[in-house]
Amino acid sequence: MLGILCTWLIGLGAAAAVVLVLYWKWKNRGKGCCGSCSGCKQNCPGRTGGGK
Amino acid sequence: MPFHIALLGNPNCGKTTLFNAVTGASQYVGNWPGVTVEKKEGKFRRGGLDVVMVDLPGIYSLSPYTPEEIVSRQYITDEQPDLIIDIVDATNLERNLYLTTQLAELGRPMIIALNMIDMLERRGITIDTEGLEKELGIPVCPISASKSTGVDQLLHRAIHMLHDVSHEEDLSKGEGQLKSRAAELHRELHHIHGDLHESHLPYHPIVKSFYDWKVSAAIEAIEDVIRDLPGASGIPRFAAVKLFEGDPILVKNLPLSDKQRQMVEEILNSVPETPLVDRQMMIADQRYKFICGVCSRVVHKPEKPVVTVSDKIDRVLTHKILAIPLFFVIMLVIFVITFGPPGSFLTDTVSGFISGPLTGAVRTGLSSIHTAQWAVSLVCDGILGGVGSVLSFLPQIMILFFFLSILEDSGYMSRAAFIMDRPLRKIGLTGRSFVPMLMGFGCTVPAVMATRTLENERDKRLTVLITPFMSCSAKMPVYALFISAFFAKNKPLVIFSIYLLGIAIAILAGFVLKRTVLKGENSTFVMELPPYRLPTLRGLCIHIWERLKDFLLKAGTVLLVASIIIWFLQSFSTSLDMVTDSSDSILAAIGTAIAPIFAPLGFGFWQASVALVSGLAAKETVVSTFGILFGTADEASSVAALNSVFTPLSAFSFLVFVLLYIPCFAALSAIRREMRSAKWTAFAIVMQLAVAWAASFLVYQGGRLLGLG
Repeated sequence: MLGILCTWLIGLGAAAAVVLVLYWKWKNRGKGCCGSCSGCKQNCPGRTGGGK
Repeated sequence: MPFHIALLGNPNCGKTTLFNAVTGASQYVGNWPGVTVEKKEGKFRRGGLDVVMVDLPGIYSLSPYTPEEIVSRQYITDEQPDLIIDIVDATNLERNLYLTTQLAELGRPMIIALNMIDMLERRGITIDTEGLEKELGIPVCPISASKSTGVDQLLHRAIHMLHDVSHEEDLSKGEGQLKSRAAELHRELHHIHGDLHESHLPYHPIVKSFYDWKVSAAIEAIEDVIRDLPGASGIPRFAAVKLFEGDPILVKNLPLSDKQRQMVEEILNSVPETPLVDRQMMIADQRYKFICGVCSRVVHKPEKPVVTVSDKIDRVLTHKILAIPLFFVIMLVIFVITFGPPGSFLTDTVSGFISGPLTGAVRTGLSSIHTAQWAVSLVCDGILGGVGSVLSFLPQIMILFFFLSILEDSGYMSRAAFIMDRPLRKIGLTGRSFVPMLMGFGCTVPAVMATRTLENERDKRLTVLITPFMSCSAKMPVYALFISAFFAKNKPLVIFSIYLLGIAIAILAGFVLKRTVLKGENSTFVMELPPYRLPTLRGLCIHIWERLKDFLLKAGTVLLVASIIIWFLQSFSTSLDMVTDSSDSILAAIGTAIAPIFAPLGFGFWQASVALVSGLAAKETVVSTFGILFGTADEASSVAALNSVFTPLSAFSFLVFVLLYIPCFAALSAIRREMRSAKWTAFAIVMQLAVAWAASFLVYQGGRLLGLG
């Protein structure tokens, strides 16, 4: 029972991760930034709300 | 409604350091000019007031010539902040006060933060701050933003001024004599306390002393003509001076009627330009005369100039002959520490933990509760094998960035651009292009975006085209994996040679482009060398934390998804049956189709092809793909597996290709944005692929001819 639950969780989790990340990347497309705005912290627009 | 305080000042005068100290933010601070290109906001509460502090790009003047100047000027004139904190670098007082004279004409409440006062004292120079305050009629607070000294006093005065602004606004809303009398009393009260500022005036009274009577009269006359026009209301003095100078943006935007235009022209004709001195120069010249007068009265220098530690270090590090060899020695030492025993030990420890105890425990745990075999494989071989293989290199990335941050914060990176200027100039580039290239060691995205500070469009395109050739941090795990497998004895040297090759190819590409598609004269390169500063622990921690956060975020998103997709494609056949041999998989079918392109480069097998394609999502994916394909997360097993398909020569050829081929999608998107042209973006892609292929071909085929492989 636990094994079946785990299998489903892993499968659904992986599928959800793929869909969500691809959607996030698609949403940030063309912004000229890696999307991880708290990441590189260099001259990316919109890092802290200013410049958006 | 929160109050807005704008931080303004010359590049590298410490705005972001003050911003971080006040707001508790952790914005990127670099000891070189041009770190901040966009404005940033931070909030804090003090003295019962909600305040939004805006960190603006560093500018030398309010002329609209560079993107930074436009961003800052538009913010000040359009948004009209409640208070301006003008950060003045005390070690460069004369140059910094030029901007102050322009800001004073805007008429916004203003306070001067005289920063780096501690460094000035070390040079034996003192500034009479009270005298300066009286000379300018603007409050002056000596501070050291990096040591947070004087910041409290500065904020105290700033908040006090905001209270004044708030009282004046409240009072101005009221009607009747009583409230007018209250306003008078309020001002009188402040006058008694000697704390009156002139925020109710359209400009600071000192601006009347900047120019000679002829220019002053002309500016005042223009002011009378344009005072009520949209675009000049609230800033009539500033607008009048800009109109006098012939400022292109103001001339275009100010809705002057024909009659007003004629009046302005008549006024301007009363102060004729000469062939050698136009009106802009007249203004600049007279401002500087005023500033020199003020400085001569308030700055006290020792009779014999003190030779600072910065001067002594520069005598060696920017030496005519020693500078470039020293630059390479410093870089080599960093690579020895990062990729030598200290870095390797940490990487081996992390890698051993992920592939050993962690993967083992997860596999045993999932199997014991009878989880389906494909799900166990997805977690252990796909996610832990893929993401884990990249995470192993996290310690080395941290070490590398620790040292690069020290170089940057200490001020050495500016010197690197300066010392590279001369050799670069000989081949048609300037040190200006070297700054984004140096930033490219971190990430290509901000490096490409940093090119927007280049004024010349041709230089900008050229720099965007060559910056991706630099070794960004994402390529580092690929190098680390391959040098462990094939060049274990000379790790630092091989990785150093790869970094150098990136610089060399970038310079060579620049040389060719400058003589072919991007022909043109060299632009001048003026860069301020900041004084050497001891990096602060906080600054270093911010740099490393940002890098760590960036890396982990990437590992948890792009790398995770890439690993899942790669695992799926290598676990299933085209008929969606699970395969036991990955050479029957969908991935193998894709890889085999494109592998012949890489055959002349020495890695014409499907695993290398798909690793390179997956690397477009993020360069680290090359490593995670190998981790999944060879069914192992730990470095030792990956090394053995790589040895079965690569030779040392083909491995080096592969590294050269990874170094030079097109960057990740995020960087390509940044290139598209900065180039503002699909044609130039396509050119960048084709050029980088062609250069990578040609360089790898030369390495592999040349090596074979020499009997190396």
